[in-house]
Amino acid sequence: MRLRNVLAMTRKETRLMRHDRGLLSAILVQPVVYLILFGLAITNEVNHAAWVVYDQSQTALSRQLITDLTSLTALREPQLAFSEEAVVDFLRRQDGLAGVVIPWDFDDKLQRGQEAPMQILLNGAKTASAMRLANYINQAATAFSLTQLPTRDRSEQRITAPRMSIEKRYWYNPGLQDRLGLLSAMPANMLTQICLMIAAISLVGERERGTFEQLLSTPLSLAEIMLGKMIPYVGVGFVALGMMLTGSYLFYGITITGSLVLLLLIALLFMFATMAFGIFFSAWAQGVQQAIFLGFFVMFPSVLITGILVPTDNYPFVISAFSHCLPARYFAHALHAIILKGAGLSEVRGDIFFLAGFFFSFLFAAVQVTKPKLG
Amino acid sequence: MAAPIIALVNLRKYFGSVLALDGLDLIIDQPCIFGIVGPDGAGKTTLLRILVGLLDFTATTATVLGYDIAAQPQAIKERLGYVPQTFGLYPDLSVQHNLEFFADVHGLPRAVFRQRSAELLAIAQLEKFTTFLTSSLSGGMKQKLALTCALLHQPQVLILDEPNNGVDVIARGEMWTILRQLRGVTIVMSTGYLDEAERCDAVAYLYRGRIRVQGTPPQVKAGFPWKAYRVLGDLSPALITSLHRASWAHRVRVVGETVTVETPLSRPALQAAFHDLHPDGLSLEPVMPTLEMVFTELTEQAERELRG
Repeated sequence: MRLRNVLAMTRKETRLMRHDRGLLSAILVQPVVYLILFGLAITNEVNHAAWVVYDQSQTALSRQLITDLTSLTALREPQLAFSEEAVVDFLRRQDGLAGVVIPWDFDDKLQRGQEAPMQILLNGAKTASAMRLANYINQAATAFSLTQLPTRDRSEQRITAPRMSIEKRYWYNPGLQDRLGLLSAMPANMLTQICLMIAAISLVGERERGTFEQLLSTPLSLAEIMLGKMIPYVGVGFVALGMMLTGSYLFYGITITGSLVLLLLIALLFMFATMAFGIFFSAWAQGVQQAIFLGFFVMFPSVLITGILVPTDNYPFVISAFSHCLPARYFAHALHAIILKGAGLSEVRGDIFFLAGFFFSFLFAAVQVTKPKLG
Repeated sequence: MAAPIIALVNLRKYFGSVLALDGLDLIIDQPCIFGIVGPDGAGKTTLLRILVGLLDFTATTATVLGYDIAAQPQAIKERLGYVPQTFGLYPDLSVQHNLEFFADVHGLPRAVFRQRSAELLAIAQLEKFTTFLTSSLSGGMKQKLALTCALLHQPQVLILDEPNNGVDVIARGEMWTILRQLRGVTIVMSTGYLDEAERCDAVAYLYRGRIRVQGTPPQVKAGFPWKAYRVLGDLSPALITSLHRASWAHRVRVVGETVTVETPLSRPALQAAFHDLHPDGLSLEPVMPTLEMVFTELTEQAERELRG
């Protein structure tokens, strides 16, 4: 081992690195990504969340309660619902976090010094956030019941316990198991890794091996080459997905509430969309290393800010907008909807539409980026 | 009259601001082995890549087999075989699987593929190696396999970019045997070896993006403006130095023990001139100009034109 030799190698490697601008910027952008994602996006704190309220009693007192809840920083102005179905629908279709039902006899019971019931419906698919929000509401409601008690009771200090009973119901994950929400969306994470990385090195790999020129001399079109490259890995992806779903059921008892066929169809679309994304990077990159780094740049946020770890409504606007550009967000949403909530086609139509759009636009973009590279 | 097999008129290609092909003209109107010769950077590979449809270009006319290269690349690719300079087959696939891939790509029916590949593998003497991993083949075998893959779909035009670069003499010989067996196929090959150019039916000398001369090797040599003589006898270094200085010696080539002089003088005049230089013991033997002499001459002419 000679220092001179090591330094010779170091010098050469540094020079190579400096030539690879793409790789270098892909590396240096990492700290920015980490700072933004972990500083802003990864939080289960509930902030300004959307919620619905179904106020059956419609009294001054119930409205006062709603105003009190709205003043929590965790919640924004509520949407009004006029049936229990509408509340459930909000949790299911709009993937809302919470719904509050104030029963028709709320005012009466409170006035009569009886326990006034209030129902909170929470979206258990967003376990951690739902629990936090339930706590906030609990505290606010307790404070409310204290201030709103009849004055005589308060002056005589006869009553020490709050007279409001809060009934919490967690939908989709009644046991509040963290892993239910996590595992059911994990295929999005796993298939992103598989599909993105394989696709990212596919074209650039052919180019580095010298086989691309030969390939282009054949009657195959660019789109045919790209599609043909994707299909076997989509097959492998399905095997991995099958293992994941079977394992989730066997070891953790997670069943698919909705349609398996629908889930597989969306998985198919997702894999094609992600591979088209990866192939676009592959067409764009100067070398395999660069393609891999570009892939990481997408893969990392795909895991962190697509609603798998943390509900999407906790993100600040910019992060939320960015996460809409990631196919994994739509797939994760569809997985939650189908596996936990038993959603049907109408509820995941948007996801299907976006994933198909991703696939076609990135395949088109990859072809367009490859063309001028030949000349 | 049928369209020429290859017709290029005023072909230009820029890479950024660098002009790689400078208004090149080339017509090939009957099947032959056509050699493109020229120094590195002359534009050989660029020219071949354009024929295969891999690069953008501008031209007044650019057709292969009557199809427009820019507008109908697909039609050309179906009828053309290409062996690029760098080995383009999949090293991790077996010989058989590489063959199958290229047959599939050209939509060859199974039966046709089996027959065709058996024939070609026999000619290339690769039939024992079909199960071998392609990466395990020697350089010469790889090259023959690449050629086999390019011939599976019976192309009418075969483009070979320096097919024998870095391949040993025996493998080169085998390659030529295969090429000679192809009837009715137009082979356009670039080569850096002038002995290979001699074996072509026709050659073109490419220099700085333009074809400087074109024809059969004898035709090309006939255009040589000087006479060439080999000098026989006792050649001292001093004599060679004075030969270099002589005004009538256009060029003196020293290759090993052999000294060749290119000169405008007739044989008697040259003999007399030699007598002045070295009174005794030297004789002259007229030799046919070689392609190397012609191309060196053309290169110098082109350089003079560029400077002037």
